[in-house]
Formats: sequence, C-alpha cells, structure tokens
Amino acid sequence: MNASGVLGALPEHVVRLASYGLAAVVTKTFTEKPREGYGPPIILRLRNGGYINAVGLANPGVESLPQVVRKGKELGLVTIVSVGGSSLDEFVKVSTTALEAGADMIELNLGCPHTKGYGLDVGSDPANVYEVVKAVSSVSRVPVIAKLGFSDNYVKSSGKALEGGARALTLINTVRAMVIDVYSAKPILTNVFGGMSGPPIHPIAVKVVYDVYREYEPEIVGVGGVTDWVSAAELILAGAKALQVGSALTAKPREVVNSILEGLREWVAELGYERIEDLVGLAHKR
Amino acid sequence: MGKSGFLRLSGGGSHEHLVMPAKVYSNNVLSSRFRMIKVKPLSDLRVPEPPQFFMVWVPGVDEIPLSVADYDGEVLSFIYEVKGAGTGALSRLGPGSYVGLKGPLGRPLNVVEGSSALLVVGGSGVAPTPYITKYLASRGCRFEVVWGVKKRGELFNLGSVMSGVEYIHVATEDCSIGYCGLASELARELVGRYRYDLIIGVGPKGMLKSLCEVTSGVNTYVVLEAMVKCGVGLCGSCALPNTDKLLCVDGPAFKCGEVMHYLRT
Repeated sequence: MNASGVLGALPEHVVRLASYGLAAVVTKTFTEKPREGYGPPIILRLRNGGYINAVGLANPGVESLPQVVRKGKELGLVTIVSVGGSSLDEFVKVSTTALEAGADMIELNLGCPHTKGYGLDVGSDPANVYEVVKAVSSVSRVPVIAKLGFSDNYVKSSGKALEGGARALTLINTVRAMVIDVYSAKPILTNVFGGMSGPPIHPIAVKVVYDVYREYEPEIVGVGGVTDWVSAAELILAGAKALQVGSALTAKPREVVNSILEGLREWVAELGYERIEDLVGLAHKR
Repeated sequence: MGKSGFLRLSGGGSHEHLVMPAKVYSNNVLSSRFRMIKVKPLSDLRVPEPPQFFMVWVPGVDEIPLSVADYDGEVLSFIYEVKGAGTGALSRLGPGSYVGLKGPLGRPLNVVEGSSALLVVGGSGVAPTPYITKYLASRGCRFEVVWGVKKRGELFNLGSVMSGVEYIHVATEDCSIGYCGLASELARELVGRYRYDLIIGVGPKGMLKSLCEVTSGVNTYVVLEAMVKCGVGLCGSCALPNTDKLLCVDGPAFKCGEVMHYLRT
C-alpha cells in the first residue's frame, strides 16, 4: 500500500494510486475542517537520497472524505482512511465519517512530525495514544491501525496503542528533520522543519519494527525507506506483515511497486519458503 | 564557488528533486505584463527540454513553478508575470541574489523531425514559447507562431528571445494591432487554410479548449497550467479534475484527448 500523504485527498488521486498496482490505498490524512497546509517549498529531495516534507496536513476536510472512500471501493481496493485530529472529538468525528463511507480500516495519524497540535504532538505521549486509540476503537467495527512516529517512547506508545484496541501498528512516520540552503542561509521548507523519509530512515524503521515486534509481536505495517525488495524484505524479517511505500513513488511508481513484489516472490522461493508470512519476524529467531 | 560537485547525491539517483542554488544574472521588464529573469545554476543541471519547468524558490518567501524560456548551457531564463507575493518578491531580486531550483520537472515534448507546426500562444503561455521554438528549430521543423494578447502593451519583441521563427501572427483582443480577436480564432482560420502536422497550444484553459475543438483530427498538444506545490507527484495539488493526470509529472503538455474532460469543466 502507499504511505499516507502520497496523493489520496481526491477521488482522482485514488484512481491514480490504483494504477500503481498497490494492494490497498491509504488516503491522505483527513481532518474535520479543510486545511490548506503550508506554502511551497513543501517537499524536496535531500543530498543524502532521502526526501523532506512539511505539507501541513493539507486536506479538503471530512466532508470530501466519502467520495474518496467510495472511489477506492469502486475500484475494488482495500481502502484505509488516515485520520488526523487535534482532539479526541476530532479523531472520533473523522473516524465516524470514514466508517459511514465504508472504509475497510482506519489508520490513526499519531506520528506526523511537523504540524502543531497534530500527529506526533499527540502521539509522543503514550497516555494520549491510549486515549485516542481507545476512543476510536470503541466506535469502529473495522480494524484500527495506529501509525506512530519516531520518538523516545515508541515501544511504550506501541504498547499503549495495542492496549487501547489497535489491531495493528504502522511504523514509522517521517523523522523530524531540517535542511538549510547554504547560499541564502535560509531554511528551505516554508515550515522551517519537516519530516525526513526515504532511504536514510530505513535503518531506523527496521530498528523500531524489530523492537516493537520483539516486545508485543503485533501486526505491523512497515514503512520508511522501502525502495526495492531488499528494503522491503528487511522490514518483513524485523516483523512487518504489510508494507507501505512513500518517497519511492516519486519515480516510476508502477515499476517500483512491481519490482518490489517480483523481488519478494523470488526471495521467498530462494529461501525455500512457500508463504511470505513464514518470514515475518524471522530475524528474531535464534 | 563554481560547479564543484557540491550537490552530488551520495546514493546516486536523480537530481531533479533537489533544490539547487543559482545566482541571479539579470531580472528585467519585457513589457507591461511580462518580465524575464536569468539565473546561473551553481551546480550541474540536467539540460531541460521544453515545456519542462522548474520550481523556483525565492528564499524565505515562496516556490514558484516557472517554465523554461531558454537555456544556453550556462544561463537559465524564465519569463514571468507578477501575480502575487512570490512573483512580486522574485521581481525584486537583483543580480547576485540567490534562488533555488528544483527541476527540470515534467515531461519533454517529443516532436517528429521535420514536422510542420503551428504554435498558438495566449497570455502567460508566452513563458515557454522561446524554448519550444528553439527545440522545433533544432528538430528541423517549419513552424509559425500565433501570439494573442489582450492589448498591444503586453507585446514585446518575441523575435529577440526566440530563434528560427518564420512568422509571428499577432492577435489582440482590443484590436490595437494585428488580427482583431482571440488567438484561438486566428488559429481556426489558419488551420482551415493550411495543413500542419502538429499544433501546440500554450495559454489559458479556455483558449486550449477551443484549440482542441477547432483542430480535431490534427495532432494537437496543449501545455497546461495548474497549482503545482510539490512538483514531484506526491502532494496531488496539480491533479487535473476528471482525469487521473498530475500536471507536474505527466505534463505540462498533453494530447487533447487525454485532458478533454478537464478542459470542458
């Protein structure tokens, strides 16, 4: 599936994501009211091969959500709605709309690192994670996934999310970062700082997935620097059962998705396994 | 500091999504409506092909999508119009100021060598025109240009920034000079009279819609404008309604058939 934040705000975006060959689509994070987000620059590539972004949770608001979900369903895709909120009430309201529209799963955005009052501002406190997940899980008849960011508390936050009723965890969101232009001596992102994604955060994602799997053995959606089958396979061995791709979709997305799937198939066969599930968390076996 | 390799990526891959530093070389008025800024990239640049564009970062202010008006291997030129805070700040940058460049973005045109072409330009569509004509000339194409503006004052000597143009038909909406009417109306007359292998339209949506309608059956490309925010195909702000196209990665040039549903909205 795509990582939330890659398109997914309009029905047209869902049509496009469907053409990438993904098994499921994740919408852009929806909030109750429309958000314009930050002005450009909002996304750029870094010299280290990663990307940095501060989009500011731009989305057309919950009123536009049903048509996005319906488009996903119409195309036969598992449709996961990313839900944002700055209060319990907002998380519940947006989730309720998602459920009424027919979402197959809800992914709670508890890890966005650059929008004040949202994401990591909520999700870095394990007690908040518990409250939000519990509130949404109690009204949801579909699986609720908690997407967490990279913070000192990630193991504890993961535990609290599971305790609150999360059926799975998406690990990890982008990692707070910053880039400065050395000629104009100014930060490049309009928001000054943002979240880093792509290959530079992959080893961090592997470590987080590994640690959380070791602690709780939950269902994990691995995300962070998946660009090819090897980076995907590492996350699977660390404990991820599903994968999301974000930054890598900036270049030839159909080919990227296809080569990951083909590579994984060959890898499973090469290791002598029949099902990829048998390789989930295999790196923990001694 | 010159092209020192400062911006080489450690992990390989493409440069187009980096924000690369460039130094303003000149920034002048062309007409009552248009200005031209020339910048010198401070690191290696992938050679742009028309109608590709750059996201031009005015440090601390805004990042603006601008089509390439020319590139001579060293200096990159952009024709622009002051419309808001970002382009306003851009217009105040003097020689020696720094900007950032993300690009070239979008897909190049792919024109068969030796084609005969009609280029129909309206309003801010003039921005990529010199680079398109340079490309057509390099492909051995014969071509004519229709340039439509609202009034005479918007015109400038297009020939001075363009190469290889055989003839420029000027159209003004206030009838102050040249053909009296819209660029698309003049184009309709020309298409009725002559045969072109290829028609390229650059300008406002209404003009492009008419152009697609009056040239049905001919190979027509339209170069569109949309709200581009990220330029790399992730944020989706340049999605063309009623299509699955993103202007920043699939465009800005499209065949009429690909975007007709959008042009009609």
